[in-house]
Amino acid sequence: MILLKEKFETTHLSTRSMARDLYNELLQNENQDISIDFSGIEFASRSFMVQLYSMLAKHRSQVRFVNMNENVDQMYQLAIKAYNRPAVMPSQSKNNSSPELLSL
Amino acid sequence: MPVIRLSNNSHWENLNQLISILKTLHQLRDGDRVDIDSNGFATPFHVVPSACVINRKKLTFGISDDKSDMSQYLKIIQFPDCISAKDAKPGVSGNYLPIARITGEESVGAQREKSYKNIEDQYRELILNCFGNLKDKLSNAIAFFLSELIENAKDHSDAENFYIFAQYWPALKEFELCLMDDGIGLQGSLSKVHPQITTDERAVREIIQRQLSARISDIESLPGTGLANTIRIVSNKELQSTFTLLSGNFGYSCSNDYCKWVDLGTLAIKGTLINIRIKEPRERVNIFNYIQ
Repeated sequence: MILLKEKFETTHLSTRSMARDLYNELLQNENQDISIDFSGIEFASRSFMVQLYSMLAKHRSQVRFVNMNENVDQMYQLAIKAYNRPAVMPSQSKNNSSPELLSL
Repeated sequence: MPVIRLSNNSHWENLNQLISILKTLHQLRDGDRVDIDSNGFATPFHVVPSACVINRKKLTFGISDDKSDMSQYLKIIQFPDCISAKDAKPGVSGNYLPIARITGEESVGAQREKSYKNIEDQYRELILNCFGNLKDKLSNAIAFFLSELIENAKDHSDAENFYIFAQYWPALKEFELCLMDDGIGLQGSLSKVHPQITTDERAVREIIQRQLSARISDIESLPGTGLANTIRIVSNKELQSTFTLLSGNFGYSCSNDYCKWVDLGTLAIKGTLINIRIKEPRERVNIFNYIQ
């Protein structure tokens, strides 16, 4: 069991590097049945969740998320959807915009 | 002696005024002096970029009436030196926070990650404790803005200085948040991985319209949605918001759902500025209705 509030000493999980730290800890853990405990976590950013979910999905890792509040769970659901979105590359055309241009 | 006037009018007038202030400051040489008109009204939108340029160019500043409200206010918010986030405390009136800044050793190496996370946590708590009305209705939205926008600045700006400042006006029931860095700007960041992004205009347009991101590793090739989602949240009509992004000589600005590209012409700001002003909503804002 990894207690996130204890590990990161915060109630808000916000950075991609936190997700990478957590993932690295999971990799080093030999226990196959590991849980990530979100008790006391009030908010997880989209960046954190997408980064964590992406790494877990890419490497087919099996972990259990427990004690997510509604906020965190909704962000997790969002991360699952985001993971399946295509990457964006620069457009070929220029200035294909609708808002007017304000020159100052 | 050049004099700058801080003011609070309509959004588009404020934007014009900001450009005027920045043009004045940019024309000064390092170490010059600038005066601030004591009759104005200071908001984060004008205060933060002014502090950023004054500090970068090591300008000195004076104020026409040292006993004026403006003078007292600028002292309370620690303009222009700012304060380290860990030392930031609510002002004496309860409605004023100081400007917080990451600078020097805090912005490099292993300390950088810690400093940006610290300023996010500290400033979020300050905002919610100082402006208690916002806690129930906007705590998620504020946590979202701070996490996404500060993470972007940390990862992409290469900045030596990062500023954050917030203000709540109880009579107007309006909240304003301004973040600015003095880094390489959106074009500098995007061009590292997309060399065809050669202008500020192209960079701003790609980020706003297509959510182009500087992250391209196999795991992180996802669209950059922090800014786009922020704009979606503030587009909530009940918030009666204004939003401005400026980077280099180009930008994007909205008042409610009326948006414009902003061409700064020969003026190029160093780094990236983001300013959000929102009206206190009647109900709690559910960010999940807006973000993707």
